[in-house]
Amino acid sequence: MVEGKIPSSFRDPSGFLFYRKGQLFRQINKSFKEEYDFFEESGLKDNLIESGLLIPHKDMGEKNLQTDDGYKIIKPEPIDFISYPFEWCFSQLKDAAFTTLTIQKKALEYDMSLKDASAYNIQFNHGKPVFIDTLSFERYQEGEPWIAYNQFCQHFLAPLALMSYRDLRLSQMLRVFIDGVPLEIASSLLPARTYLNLGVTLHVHFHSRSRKRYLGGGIDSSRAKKKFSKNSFLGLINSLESVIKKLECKIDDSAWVDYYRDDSYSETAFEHKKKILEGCIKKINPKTVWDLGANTGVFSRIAGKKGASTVSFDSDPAVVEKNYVECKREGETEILPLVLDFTNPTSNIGWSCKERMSIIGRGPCDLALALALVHHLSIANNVPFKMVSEFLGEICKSLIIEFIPKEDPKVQILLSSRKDIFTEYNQQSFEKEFKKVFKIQYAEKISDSERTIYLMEKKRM
Amino acid sequence: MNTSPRKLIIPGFILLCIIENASAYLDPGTGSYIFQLLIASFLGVGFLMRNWLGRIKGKILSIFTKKGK
Repeated sequence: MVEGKIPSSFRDPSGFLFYRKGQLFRQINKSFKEEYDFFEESGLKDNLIESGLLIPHKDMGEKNLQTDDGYKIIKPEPIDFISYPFEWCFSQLKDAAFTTLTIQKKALEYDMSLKDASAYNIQFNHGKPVFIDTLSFERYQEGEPWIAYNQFCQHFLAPLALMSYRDLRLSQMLRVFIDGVPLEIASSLLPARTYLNLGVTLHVHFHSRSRKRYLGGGIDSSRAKKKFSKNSFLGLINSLESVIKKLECKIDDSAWVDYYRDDSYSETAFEHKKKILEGCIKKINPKTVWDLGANTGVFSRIAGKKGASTVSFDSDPAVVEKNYVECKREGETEILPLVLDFTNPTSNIGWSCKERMSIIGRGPCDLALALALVHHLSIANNVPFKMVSEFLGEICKSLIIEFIPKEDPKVQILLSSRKDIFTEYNQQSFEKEFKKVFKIQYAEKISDSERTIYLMEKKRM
Repeated sequence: MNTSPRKLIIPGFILLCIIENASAYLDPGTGSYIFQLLIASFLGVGFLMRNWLGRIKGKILSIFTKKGK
């Protein structure tokens, strides 16, 4: 963990986040003193924390101010795993949008308003979206429109509409457009039938035209005198809430949604695999677990039930959606389902390539699960065992990995449509390469199958 | 596009005043700002209508609830 100011905390002059002795703090600058004091004294801060909408924090006073213009230091409650909007499934982005709007409505009750509506201000903490930017609140100016309206539409509404009307994978546009999907792009990509949706027409299509029309231009004095009443403000928030509520996630043809129901494992093999896994997790007793290629999270739940903060990754947004809905329904607060393709994982992006952290930068986790994954990496994506083991060695301290031999029906499917060029794909080569990075602690063959589960510990280099 | 610099002075000044009033570090974008002003009445009426309908619905429901008791 790097000490000092964190690289993503530079846009807002009101303050910044920094690490000191491995702990995260936030400095509030003198320039924001009045707004912050109002936020505290008005009761809004306590209301939001009590409602679970804002991350709680401890007031540290003036001790350890980082710069001369500092007013106060606060220590926010740590978040187990920082995730980004392009790693969320449809319902996660939708819940994050509702959280932002609910906070804005509450803020208006206290004569305050959100000065930004970035999706990066939301994190998933113990299964729920929570607002993390304590410095986003300013006093409401009577007659002023919502300064964060465009940002809200770009960060939430546009990607949600694209995912709902076009394709769930379009959430990945948020990875390219770090300040949200530009409305003119969203408008041109959305199908014509979205003009039948009043909310999308208003907040995406017409809004984007207005932006285009006044791009770099001025406004006339009659408009400058016009005021935006509080009722209009509340109407705007209600309208955004209503359009987002109506957007639906359509899951139909994902190959992975019914993965466990097909012939991947016999019942005996499946139960035995779970038993081996339970034993290995108990042995390691990890605090943090990353399940790579988790599908709908069946094995993540084993780690979650043992109390480990578990991130359940999969590249298919449809299965991540299913996983998230299941977590919400069952109240599984230890599991965080996320969309991530390990053949192209999140890299360092944003300003100076430091604003948003790569997956490696957010690790290492205590334990990684790589179950039924290696054949996808090595055969479907031609990644040699050497590179798989080196990458896994960078992201975890311990590893539970499943080796699936060529004779397995799943590998046969992968090889059925291509020439078998994978002469090195065998258990001996697998062990040889992994032993260079890890120490094999335990191995057990899964009953009624040719697959083997390994428990490995990373070697100290 | 040829735009005379003189034509930009007044609107530019108004825009500067407005952006300053809006304060904060985030630029709302002129188009988004004007768009909100344009739809303000529509949103305001929508909000009042929603509240009004909610109140009427509440009253009707309370009548039936009382009768039910």
